[in-house]
Amino acid sequence: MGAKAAWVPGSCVIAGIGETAFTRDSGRSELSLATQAITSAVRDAGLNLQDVDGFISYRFDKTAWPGFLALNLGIQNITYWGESNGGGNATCATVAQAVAAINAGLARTIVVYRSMNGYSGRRLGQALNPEVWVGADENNEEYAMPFGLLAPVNVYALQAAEYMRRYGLTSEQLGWIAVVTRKRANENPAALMHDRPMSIDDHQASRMISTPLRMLDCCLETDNASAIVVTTAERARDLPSRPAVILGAAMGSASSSHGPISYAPLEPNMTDTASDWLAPRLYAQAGVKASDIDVAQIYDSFTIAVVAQLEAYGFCGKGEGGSFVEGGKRIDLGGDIPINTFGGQLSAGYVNGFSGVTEGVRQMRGTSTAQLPGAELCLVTGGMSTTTSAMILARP
Amino acid sequence: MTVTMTRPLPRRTHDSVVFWDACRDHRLVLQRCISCDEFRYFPMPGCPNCGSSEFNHEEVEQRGSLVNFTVVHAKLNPAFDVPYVLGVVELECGARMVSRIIDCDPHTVEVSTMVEVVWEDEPSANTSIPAFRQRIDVGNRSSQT
Repeated sequence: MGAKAAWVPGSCVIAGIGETAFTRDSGRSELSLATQAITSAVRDAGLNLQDVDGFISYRFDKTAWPGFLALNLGIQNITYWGESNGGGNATCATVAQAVAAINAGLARTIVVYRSMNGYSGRRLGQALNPEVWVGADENNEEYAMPFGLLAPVNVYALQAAEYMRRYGLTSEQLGWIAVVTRKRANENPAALMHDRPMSIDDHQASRMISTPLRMLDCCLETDNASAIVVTTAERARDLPSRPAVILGAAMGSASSSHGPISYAPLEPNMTDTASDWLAPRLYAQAGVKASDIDVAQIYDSFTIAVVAQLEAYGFCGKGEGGSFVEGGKRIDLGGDIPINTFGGQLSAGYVNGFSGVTEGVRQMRGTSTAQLPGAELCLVTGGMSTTTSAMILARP
Repeated sequence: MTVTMTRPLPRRTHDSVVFWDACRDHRLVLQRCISCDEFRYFPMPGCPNCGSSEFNHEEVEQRGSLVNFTVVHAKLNPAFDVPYVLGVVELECGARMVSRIIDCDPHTVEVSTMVEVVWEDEPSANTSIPAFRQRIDVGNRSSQT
């Protein structure tokens, strides 16, 4: 067996982004939403649809299948397509796969996208599956839902409960993540909660969903499609758009297992996450360290997920996430590590993490509604139960 | 989209039929790896501990201790009255299960509580679902070592 081929930081870039509005009633199919987001992203990159020769997406539920998309966009001669399961855990895995496919010569310009009617269709937050008969698929819901584990919030609540027992995390500390994220949404006209300010008292008064997580610890559910165009840095030099350079993009699983989300509570220690194992490898791949990162888009399905990842990605020590976010200053603009500058999934909208990818590109282009002056490196992460993925973007 | 008014029920698979059939008879039967001796839950064809695909089914004690829990307040499914305690139980055999802890006060439940299985029959699924309740034979926690 030979050594792994070398990862080349910056060999590929994100040349364009496109999104539909965050709504709760799109009135359209996932396929229709995807075609709009993709068309926008390709135009934003300064390319034509016929320049696209690959598609990659990921899913947990219904989505727009890559092959059918090519048909609906009138694109001939697709040379690469791929699809990951695992929901938000695969957010940045798709980008890693696009870079791998391009560098392997399987395609030249790959569209990566996620499309979901997350509110008007199947609401992942309400119950993993609304049917009577569950399971017998890769999500293993038959060992969760009949037993009363009904939705992702129950899994993250168990993680938060373990954090509280082990490290003294408090509900109010979690609340500061929601409050700071809402401030970013208040600055972003595209955010669903743009006009709705939130205080720490609002968080503490919000109703309990699954102890210790309250309503305002949970992300939104929205209809949306988001897309990016990945191509080589060399190709991008001829394009009019400003690209974001992909320094690192990695996938990883936890030490003990990499099961479905319903398996996560059965792990020996829920405060150990796949992100703990992925982060050092991602930084080594990109040739940077945590203290180099200027801004981060951290997968925030629930506030507790942000605590675990701030620790895993080295912005604070293990068990210190609660005190790190307390008061909000260190994750606010001007703080140690400003997070989720578009308003996050908590307050802007939810498309299984992909809005963190498009916001990461905006920060590197200098076009965010909460632009960090001089930002040169952005961390973007995917969901973080038993498997995860993340990437590091750079200003060109 | 239709939301069920009844409890979600398990589909059987080739991997889980032994487990669910035993549950129907109020027996807890788990897979045990022949190679490394570890019990595992839920049913799956390979061992998470060592990767072996050789295993037996063994009946295990229907007792364990509560290692983690959340009190569910949101009515996510009409079949479950709220609030209820959703717990992670470490069985005496070492495997962990997630299920409801019933017949307890959600405001006073604590980790380390000794629990035992209570079966909830689901005739339409031809099985029974194991929930848990505090063991009455050992009193409170820490009285059992």
